[in-house]
Amino acid sequence: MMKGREGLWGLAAAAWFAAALGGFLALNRYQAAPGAAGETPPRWPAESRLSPAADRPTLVMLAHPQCPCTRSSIGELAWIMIRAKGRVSAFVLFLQPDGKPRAWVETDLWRAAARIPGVQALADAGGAEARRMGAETSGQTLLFDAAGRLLFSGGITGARGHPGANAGRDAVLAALLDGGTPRGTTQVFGCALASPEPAAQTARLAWRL
Amino acid sequence: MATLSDPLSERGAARAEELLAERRAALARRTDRMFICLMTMQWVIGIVFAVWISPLTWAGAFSRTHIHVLAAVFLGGLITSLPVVLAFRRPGAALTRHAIAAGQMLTSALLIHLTGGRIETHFHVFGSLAFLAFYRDWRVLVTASAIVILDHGLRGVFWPQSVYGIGFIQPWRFLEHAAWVFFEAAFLAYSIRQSLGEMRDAAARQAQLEEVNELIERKVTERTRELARANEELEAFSYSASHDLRAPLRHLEGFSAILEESFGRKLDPENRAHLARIRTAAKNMSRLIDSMLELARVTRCELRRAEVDLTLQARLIVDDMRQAAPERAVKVTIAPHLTAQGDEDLLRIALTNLLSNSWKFVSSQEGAEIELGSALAPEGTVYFVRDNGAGFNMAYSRKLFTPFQKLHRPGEFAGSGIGLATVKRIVERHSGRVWAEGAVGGGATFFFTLPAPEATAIIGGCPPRSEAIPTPVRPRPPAPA
Repeated sequence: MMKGREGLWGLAAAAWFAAALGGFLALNRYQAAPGAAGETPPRWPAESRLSPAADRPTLVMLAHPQCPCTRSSIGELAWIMIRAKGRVSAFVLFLQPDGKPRAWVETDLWRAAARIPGVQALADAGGAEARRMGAETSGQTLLFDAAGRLLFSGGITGARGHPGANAGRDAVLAALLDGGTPRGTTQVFGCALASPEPAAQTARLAWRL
Repeated sequence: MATLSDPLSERGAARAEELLAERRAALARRTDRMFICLMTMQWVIGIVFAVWISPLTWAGAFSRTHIHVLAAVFLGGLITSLPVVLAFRRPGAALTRHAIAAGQMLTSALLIHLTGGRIETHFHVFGSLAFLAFYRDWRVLVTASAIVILDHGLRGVFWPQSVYGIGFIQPWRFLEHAAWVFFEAAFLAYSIRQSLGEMRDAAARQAQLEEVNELIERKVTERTRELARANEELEAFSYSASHDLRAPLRHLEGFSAILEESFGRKLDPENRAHLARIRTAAKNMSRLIDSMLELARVTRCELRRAEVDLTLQARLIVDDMRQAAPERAVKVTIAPHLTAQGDEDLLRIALTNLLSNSWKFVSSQEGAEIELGSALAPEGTVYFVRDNGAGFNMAYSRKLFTPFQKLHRPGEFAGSGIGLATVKRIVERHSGRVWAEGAVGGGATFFFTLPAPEATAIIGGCPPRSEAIPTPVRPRPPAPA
């Protein structure tokens, strides 16, 4: 009887361990799942309201002011700016959806970005600049040279909300410090900048109810 | 006889192993309880952090619960559930502590993940290993280390950023983390070994102590039995000797009376005085034997408990004494409503001895006074018999209650020297205490206590106070030669 019960507990423990591994697997898959990659322009978009620097490269990061994962992107941007030592001008454009007040945008993320030397934090009303830059995911970073050519486009974190060395950050730094050619794009990890389609919103609302 | 320095016997060694196993099981149960609290607390803290740091994930202006919150609630809850359930249902079991070790390390993995592989969160691994060492079972550390290494190995290959905080790592990074875990686990295992050695020594010492105690206990029981047997024999001998002495004494007294009656007038004064001395000596010896028999009786008989009206008993005793000596003018004060729980017969004997003792020692006193009363003291009610008689020297107060000990010169005060010893026996049989205070020429006070009824184990009753001793019949005068 005791042996049998012991065996049952052993089976329960094995099932528990397998379930925990499954949970970790799902969590890691989510963390490693990139956001949607938009189609970025090869040159500085003429319709942009921003004025790029004429004497040095310009970096633009599109960010969602409420996205927790973007904290890592801001952290990586600070890392880049410190090492670039004034060789780049940077904008962080925080999405301000229609109807959202200024306070919704000026979060601690905004303040963290504004504190980085050489970075200008701005509100992107209605996500117009994000659309012009072809950015769909918070943390999307674009680097243009002084002539307005796109040098790099992608994310500067290795996973959702995970700071630390990664390909995107290294590529931007290489372009700025060594004048190297960009290594193409990297995946972007963060919240979606665009609101979901109305049908999807309704479905989610129904699910919540 | 065995001593603590002797090596353990085979039975002692088995007992030491049993004690060690008991202590280890108790330790495991205690540590299980500790982990119930710790793991539940970690789960709650994980949720609080997740809700605080990343409550929602966004898509434009719309939000939903962040996966970190869901992971903290559900994955954290899953990780916590089995170890906690096992700790409640199967405390002390090996499976429980291994499940706790695995759960604790999975919690580390979750926290490391939720903090984006922050190196500071890795301290949770080391702290957990130290906590797991409380079990004093190195196997638990093996389970925990294996999970850490498995987690770092797998995540290092597939999602390095989630565990090391960087997206690309060299293969040795995994080994570096594993080595630090081994480093701590090895030291903890060594410490566990030391600690187990100490536990084993303590168990052996206790087993040895138990063995010696058991031996002492056996010896004491044996000796006590022997002593009790010897005491019983002695008492029986004393009782039967006293009893048997009474018969020839009665004969001696009876025949002396017959001699005096028959030939008293024919004897010259000197021989008549000799005959009178024989009769007086016989009477004294008879009284002494009576006292000895009484002392033996109060020691041997079983007690019968009841509420005793000490005031009434004392009045009856004093009435008897007044009737026996109506010429004596003694003022006796007896406090009203004095009651006690005890054997009525024995308490009457004790009171008789105390009151007659005072009655005797105030005989030469002008304005003689005797008082029976009580007072409240920390140990309960203290009864006392006080007189203003001859008193005694406090230096010899201990001798007062010793049989045949008298503090006065022979002939000064009559008595067998057994009365107060009898009082002491009676009071002690009621689990009480008796003592005396006094001064030569300044009177004496005898105190005694009779504790609450539950303090005395009282059953049965005393045998009849006196047994029929055949009175010698008047023999026929010896035939003339």
